[in-house]
Amino acid sequence: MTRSLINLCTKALVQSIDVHEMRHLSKRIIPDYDIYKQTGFPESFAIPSIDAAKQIVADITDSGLFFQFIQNLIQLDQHGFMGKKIRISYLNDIIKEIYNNGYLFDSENQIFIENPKVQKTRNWGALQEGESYLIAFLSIDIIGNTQIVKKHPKDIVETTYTELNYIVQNAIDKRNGRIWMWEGDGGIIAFFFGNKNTDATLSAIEILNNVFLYNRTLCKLTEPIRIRASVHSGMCEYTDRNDYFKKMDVMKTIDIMEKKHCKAKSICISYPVRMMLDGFIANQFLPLGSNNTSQFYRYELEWDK
Amino acid sequence: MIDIYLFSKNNKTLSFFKKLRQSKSFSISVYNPDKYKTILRRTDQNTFVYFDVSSFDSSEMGKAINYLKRQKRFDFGIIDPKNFVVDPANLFHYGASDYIGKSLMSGDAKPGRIKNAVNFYSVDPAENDFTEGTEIDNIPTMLSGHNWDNIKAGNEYTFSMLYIEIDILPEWLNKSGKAHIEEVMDSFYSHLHRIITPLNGRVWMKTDFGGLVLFPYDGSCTPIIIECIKLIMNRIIISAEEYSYSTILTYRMAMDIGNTKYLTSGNTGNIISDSVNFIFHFGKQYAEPGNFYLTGRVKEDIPPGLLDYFYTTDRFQERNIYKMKLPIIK
Repeated sequence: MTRSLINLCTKALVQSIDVHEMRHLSKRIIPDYDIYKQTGFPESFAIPSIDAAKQIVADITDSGLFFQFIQNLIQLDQHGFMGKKIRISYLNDIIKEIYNNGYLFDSENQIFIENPKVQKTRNWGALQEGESYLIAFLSIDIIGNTQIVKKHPKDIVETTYTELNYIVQNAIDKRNGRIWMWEGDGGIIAFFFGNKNTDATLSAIEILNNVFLYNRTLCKLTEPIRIRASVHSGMCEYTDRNDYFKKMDVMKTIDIMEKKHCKAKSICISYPVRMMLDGFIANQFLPLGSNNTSQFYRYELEWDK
Repeated sequence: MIDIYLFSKNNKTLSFFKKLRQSKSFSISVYNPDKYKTILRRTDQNTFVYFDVSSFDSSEMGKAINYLKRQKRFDFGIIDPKNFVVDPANLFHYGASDYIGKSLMSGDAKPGRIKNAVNFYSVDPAENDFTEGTEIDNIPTMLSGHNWDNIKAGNEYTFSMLYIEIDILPEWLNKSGKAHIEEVMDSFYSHLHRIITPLNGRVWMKTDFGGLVLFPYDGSCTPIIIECIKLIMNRIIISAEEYSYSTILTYRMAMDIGNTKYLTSGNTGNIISDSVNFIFHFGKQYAEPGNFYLTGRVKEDIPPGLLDYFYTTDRFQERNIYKMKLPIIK
């Protein structure tokens, strides 16, 4: 964090809340936080506001909990403290400064995330290792990858897969999705913000449509690329480790969808995803099996005769 | 309906035909007489031509009348508000169907008289150069490039022309207020600009629910066709992300390649262009909601792999028309 941002936060604390409220705020973020121990002041002594504020901001920043601290400041500003209304001074300036540092405040999830125009990381700069989150996943699978590689010259296959990757990247970037895994024949893309289920589903439709156009305009393979897509969402522990991620329940469900319910040139979505879609989007997906008990739904690109 | 091409820039003549232009029995298209050769090259036997000679000097007038006399594809009448023509009867010896001199132009054109002129001769179909299916789209092209750098207001160029409108839901028209429609149109134009800007397109003329987009033409309009195909294929995505009404919204599109003088947007009131007339008729009268149509000239630029997704449909104003198949919406 920049020096000016730290100074702004210190000034905000001093001018908005007393030391008692600062202690409460810091314990929300670091439950065993002891301001006396940290500052060296004896407990019988009244710690000056400026010293308490400087210490808290420094300790929280050192602990890598700066964004949580600002999120708590925003909550204090919105909801007050123990029934008391509180206005946090310089809050807009702090948020503006954070924005200048490449982060945005996601009001729905009440967390700071990286500004995708500035940087893109796997966890959006926000998800914490070991914490659970509700995430929507889009799985893309290129059918017959082995045959494609065997039957075509290496440079044509490489060009084709680069262009396919561009189609996928273009569709997910505009919806703030992140590729969590990508191997030769497909991958897994995560969506966390906004209407995550809609974003994952519409990305799948766009990819399917663009692959259709790609096959008929630019593709140099002797046969069209065939893909299948699956969309599922659920609670998932965030991890940087793909070997651990692959064993999670959401991944097991996606695996079942892909192997048992998905077919070429189609998109399969699970019931929790369909539930969250606008009616006119959900209607494009037909139930697999009985209407009442179906867990999965499918969309295919079909044309009028 | 009787189709008349009126070549005139004389206010007296235009005023003489004013009432007739409002009649449902006549469709009168007004053109600049200076461009008569370009436009008449595409005219057929279903059109009657009235030609005002008042803007020409005697030499040009003679050439124009000689040109008209040579044509067998259409019937014509001469308008002579200043009584320039010395021997009007001679015009009839060379095939004219009507002569309207100064004395006749004090009032309005009488529908009965105009109908008599139109029916004065009947063109023998055997003499007609055109056969069913003939394209008359072979207008001379004046390539305008792939961007606007070399396009100057006042000059004539060939453009790719896209008529595009959002299909406003009937219940919105009947029940919702002006503010709602304005909100929808703001979203539409915002989306349209994002689509056409990378293709160097400009909204040239606006209509109630869309407009005419011009793209500089460098000999191919394939990227525009593909973008239009995407607009059809991505209807669900567009409805969900560009609009907030939780319902499927569609666009109707009609595309052609044509010539027009380019004037900046907002100063196009006096544009006289067969191509512009056509694209408006094509989009407004022919195109159905949610569909994408293009003319034979544009069809040439459809990538071969996508030709299967277009099929021929009824001809419109002597042009072959192709319609895109639609992805099924449930």
